Amino acid sequence: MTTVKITQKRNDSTEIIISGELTIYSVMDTYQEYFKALKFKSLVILKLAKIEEIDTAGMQLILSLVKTTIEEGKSFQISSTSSAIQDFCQLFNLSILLNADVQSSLGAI
Amino acid sequence: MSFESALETFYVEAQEHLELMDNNLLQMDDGEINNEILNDIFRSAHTIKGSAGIFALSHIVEFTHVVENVLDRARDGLVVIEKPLIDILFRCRDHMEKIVSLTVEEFNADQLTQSNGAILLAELMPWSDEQTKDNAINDNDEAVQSHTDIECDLGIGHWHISLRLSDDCLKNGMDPVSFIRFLATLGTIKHIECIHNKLPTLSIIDPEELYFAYEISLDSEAEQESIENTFMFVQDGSQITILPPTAPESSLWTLIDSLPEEESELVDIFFRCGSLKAGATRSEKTTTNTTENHTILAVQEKTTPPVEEATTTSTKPASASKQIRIDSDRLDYLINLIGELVINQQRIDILSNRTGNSELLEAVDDFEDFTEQIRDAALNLRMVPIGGTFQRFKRIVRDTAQELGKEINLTIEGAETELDRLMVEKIGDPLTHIVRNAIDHGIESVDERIAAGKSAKGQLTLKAYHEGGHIVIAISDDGKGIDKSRVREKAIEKGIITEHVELSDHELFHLIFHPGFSTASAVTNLSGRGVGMDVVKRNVESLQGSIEIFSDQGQGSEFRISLPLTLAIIDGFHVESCGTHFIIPQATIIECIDLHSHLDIQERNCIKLRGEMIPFVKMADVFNLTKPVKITPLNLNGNATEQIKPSSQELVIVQFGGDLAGIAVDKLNGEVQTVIKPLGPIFKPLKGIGGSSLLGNGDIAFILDIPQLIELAIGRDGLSHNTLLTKE
Amino acid sequence: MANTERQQSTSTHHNQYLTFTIGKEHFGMELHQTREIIEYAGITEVPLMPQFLSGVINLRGEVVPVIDLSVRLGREPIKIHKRTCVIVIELHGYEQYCVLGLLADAVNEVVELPVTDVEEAPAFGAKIRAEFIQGIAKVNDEFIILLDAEKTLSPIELASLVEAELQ
Repeated sequence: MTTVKITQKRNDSTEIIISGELTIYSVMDTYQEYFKALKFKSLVILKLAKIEEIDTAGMQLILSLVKTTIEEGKSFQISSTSSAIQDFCQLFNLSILLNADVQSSLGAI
Repeated sequence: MSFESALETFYVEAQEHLELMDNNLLQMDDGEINNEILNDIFRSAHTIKGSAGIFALSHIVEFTHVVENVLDRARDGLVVIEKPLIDILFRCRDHMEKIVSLTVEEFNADQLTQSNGAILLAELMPWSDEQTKDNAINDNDEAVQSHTDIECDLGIGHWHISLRLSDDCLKNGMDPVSFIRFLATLGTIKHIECIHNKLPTLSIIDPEELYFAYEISLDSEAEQESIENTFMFVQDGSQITILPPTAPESSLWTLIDSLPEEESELVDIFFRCGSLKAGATRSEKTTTNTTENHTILAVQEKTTPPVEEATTTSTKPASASKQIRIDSDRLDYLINLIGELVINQQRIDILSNRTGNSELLEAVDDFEDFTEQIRDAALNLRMVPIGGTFQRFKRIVRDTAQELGKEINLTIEGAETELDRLMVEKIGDPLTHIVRNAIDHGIESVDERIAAGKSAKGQLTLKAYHEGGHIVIAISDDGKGIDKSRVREKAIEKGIITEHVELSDHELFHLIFHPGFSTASAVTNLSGRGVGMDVVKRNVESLQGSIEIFSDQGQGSEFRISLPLTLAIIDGFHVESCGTHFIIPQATIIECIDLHSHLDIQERNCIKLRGEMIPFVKMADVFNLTKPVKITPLNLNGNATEQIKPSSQELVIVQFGGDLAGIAVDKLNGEVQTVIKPLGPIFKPLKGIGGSSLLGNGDIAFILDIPQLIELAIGRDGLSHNTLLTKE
Repeated sequence: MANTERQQSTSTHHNQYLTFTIGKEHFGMELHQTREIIEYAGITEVPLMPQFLSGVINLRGEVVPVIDLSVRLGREPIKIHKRTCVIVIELHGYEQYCVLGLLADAVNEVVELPVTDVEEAPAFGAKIRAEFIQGIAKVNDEFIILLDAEKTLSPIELASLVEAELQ
């Protein structure tokens, strides 16, 4: 089960909280329901601390989200991550994406 | 390939590897300990672990990992292979077989299996290096962190693996993470580059498609095959390139050219992987060749030519690539169609003969030739060597003997003898029972054997060979043989026979097949509950086969199972008696003779042929045939019925077991190929007829079951068994 | 199996039967059990078989046993004539799928009978084992004996009769 909570805040930011499992079994539904037509405000804040399980499909979805905000010229912040995410990123040397200077590094995407 | 079918492949292959392991362990148990066998066992365990890892079957991976570790240490000479270890390895193999059959959930719910596994692992402890597992994990951590301080070390063991996996591999349930985790068990992952260039934005992403590409460098002493096998299930639609340590630098450039990403970017990535030296540039020589190599790669989509060169040293069995798996239903369908083809061909044969057109006849002749060849080729598809079944007995014999404290040497002969796949499947159980019986009741204990002046080690032989169109499987032992008086007593005690009945050896031995018969004084765990031997006989007969017993007290026994070559189509000989058509299986026929010129001892229904007494039966007597059997509306309407004299002039000499007998018929109609059409359950009690068959003109003929027919004839004619069956 | 079908039929209220004649008697059999009707074109006797088992026929490459229902029901053997036909039926019994042919003097019609018109088999009078009869119905003023094919032609029972004959 993936739970997504999206709050469009008054301070011109979009807060996205994803929790539970984000895997191949749920990405399609999650995507269709929340992300396919999502409009972002100037700042996007991603909270991932409650992701218990993630796989390649889930990671792709998160990275696509990141990539989209950057392409739209929005500011982006990952405010928290979980150990599942950290393990995954470490295995694939993707940790850099979760660093504070995420914006500059994503220029390459 | 869908996830389910990939998983199915895993189970099939795991099973094959478990069988291989069993055989190799048996060889070691026989004292044949060498590196090759150890390597094979190691590879089996390793492959199972690897494939299980891909499917996240953690329960298999965890257990097998330890077994593999012990085997690896044995390969390195750190562990001495000794009897106790072989015993444990046998049990580990069995445990693997058990857990392979369980899903993770089933395993988690199965306390008994879990504890058995734990016990085995504890027993393996003395031979294993407990820290290996932790080491492996540490290695991985190191690998993950090592990207910061890359050394340009292209030394021994540096593999470069480039993965552009098929788009739908996630959908099929295969996550690259599992492949990479598995690679980490083969060595040390030095660097992974996850390329996400292709990842689209949210508006157009298909979240179930794989967009990531991977470049991996791995330090490993593993064989190419093991690394290749990691990706066994994702080969379709994937571009997987594995560059072994021996691959020349030019192959990297070839790879770069074949990949969709920009060269400059790839060079950076390859540098970070440690696969390219800093500042390396392609030499001019390779540049000129790249276009050509590029194409090869694109077409091959699996490995680059340099890899192929390097593979030549690997020891992949040559036969593996030549074999394909076919769904047996499809095969059976093909065989059925060919059966119909054979019938049609015969009809055409009859029709064309009527025309007398020589050109047509010639063409039909050729057609017949090809039909026959097609039939043989198709039937051959179903044939498998019995060796596989025999191999299983090595283990059964070993375990049974050990349990009973006996020493037994198993000899296998004729393992290459082929028989119908269906039959191989069905003969396993009866054979097992006979073998267990032989070990349990036949072969004596070591003390008894020595007292009887025999070698301490009992001898059991499994033998398969062709005999007159049958496959014979013989199970013989050099044990105490069947105690005739004991069998007799027992049969009387059980009320199977009365005290005054006189029985031939043959009849006496056959009492063993009587339901509810058991001679063992003490009922053991293995056999001797008195269930089984009758089932054995029934099973064999259901395969159109027969079983015979030969035994010399004190010297041993032999069980001889005789089976037809195939169950689908037979070469037959078409005969007629009183207007009824019969087919005698060609393979049982020795010759055809004129009855009257040989009739010697009429009242006993025997003839003398080249000095040998041969009993015979008349079809008309056996089957009570006295009138023309085919009644058509035509002859009921007053047309004269064809007069058929029940004269029985021709004698077909057939062979069964080791004996000859004659079958007297009215008319010999010649050879036919015939498709066996079972007669169905209603006719099951009918002895002597094994099935039916359609002749070219649509008439129905009955296929004779020769062994049954003779038995039936004996019953009717009151011929003594001795005349027929104990004449060797 | 036949039982459940009968229970179901109580709610559907109608059953289709194929009716046929043997001698002077009319019989019916549930239509879904019948496959086809063919002309009698000769039969191959199987040696040593009891009288009710007339023989086998070649039905487009399939070897199908043919039963003389008349003998099976305890009557005189059927007399073969020009209009004799074979009703091919399929049984999906307990043990296995089974195709059989039945000899009949004539095939009459397919009738749809309301379940209410089918009466229980009389305990006596029909000279047929009660368990073979599913019921009795009256069509065009004639009584039709509706047979329970699964019971009448159970391969297991037929095989045991064959076995008895052979001993």
